[in-house]
Amino acid sequence: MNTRGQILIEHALVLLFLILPLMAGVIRWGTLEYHRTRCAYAGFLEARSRLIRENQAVTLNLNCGFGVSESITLVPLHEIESPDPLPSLSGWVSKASSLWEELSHFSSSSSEQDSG
Amino acid sequence: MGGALTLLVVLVGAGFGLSMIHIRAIAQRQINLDRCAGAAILDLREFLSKLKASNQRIEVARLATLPLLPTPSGPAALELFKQLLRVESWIQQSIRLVWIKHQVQWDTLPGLGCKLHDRPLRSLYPEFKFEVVEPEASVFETQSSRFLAALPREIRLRISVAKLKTEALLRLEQNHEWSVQWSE
Repeated sequence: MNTRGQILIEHALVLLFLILPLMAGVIRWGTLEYHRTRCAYAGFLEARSRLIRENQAVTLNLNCGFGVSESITLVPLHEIESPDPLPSLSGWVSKASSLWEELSHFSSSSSEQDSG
Repeated sequence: MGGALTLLVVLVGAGFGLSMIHIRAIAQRQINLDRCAGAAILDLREFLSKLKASNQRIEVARLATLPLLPTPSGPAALELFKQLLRVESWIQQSIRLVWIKHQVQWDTLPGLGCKLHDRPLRSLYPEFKFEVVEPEASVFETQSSRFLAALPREIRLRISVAKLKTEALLRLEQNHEWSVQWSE
């Protein structure tokens, strides 16, 4: 066997035992991830539609096949804690509210005095 | 042969990869869009809740003041009511200013900081007839709405980006509470 033949055999062996399994693994992983992405996206769209239709929390446990499973949970708006939109305002709104409580207290005590 | 096979696998893999990135980007953008509309409508609910609370304080004060008017403490009670109206008017005007600030921010910084800056946002910040309390309104007004801030019964916020869209709805229910939900 000459050097060229030896190189060809080595190349074929590397291809057979290293490159091909590696590629098969990469292809399998890529296909599964692609499948998972598509399945999750379809599940997300379905969960979103149900959330809009039913207005209650939706949890979808997807069994996408090939051992792939995903879980999607969407929460309705009324279950989300409302952020305070008026951070700078809330301080003195509460001050004004407490002022009003004092005023109403004064009002009620004056009415009690009147009735008394 | 090995080179061609590798090239084929790389091309197919790149196709799958790009497709996955595309799908995930669409899903992420839709989620951001929903969050954006949801956060904005929750903000609006907070605005309206504060206005409603202010209206309630005025109404309670009016009902408390009316029976006192014929009594000797009537003028003092009326003056107290007027002061309250001035305070509440100031509160409502301030809420209105913040509302306007949010409207301007929505137009200039699309989505009040929503992470959608990569695409133009097509939306208008909701508008409604916003009448704040008249500070000089009389406690004798038979129609109490004369000195109460006008509030809407329903607000819809629609946002669209490219082919994606979302809508959030804020509605006054029978129990006089505002409900929020995503809608279509």
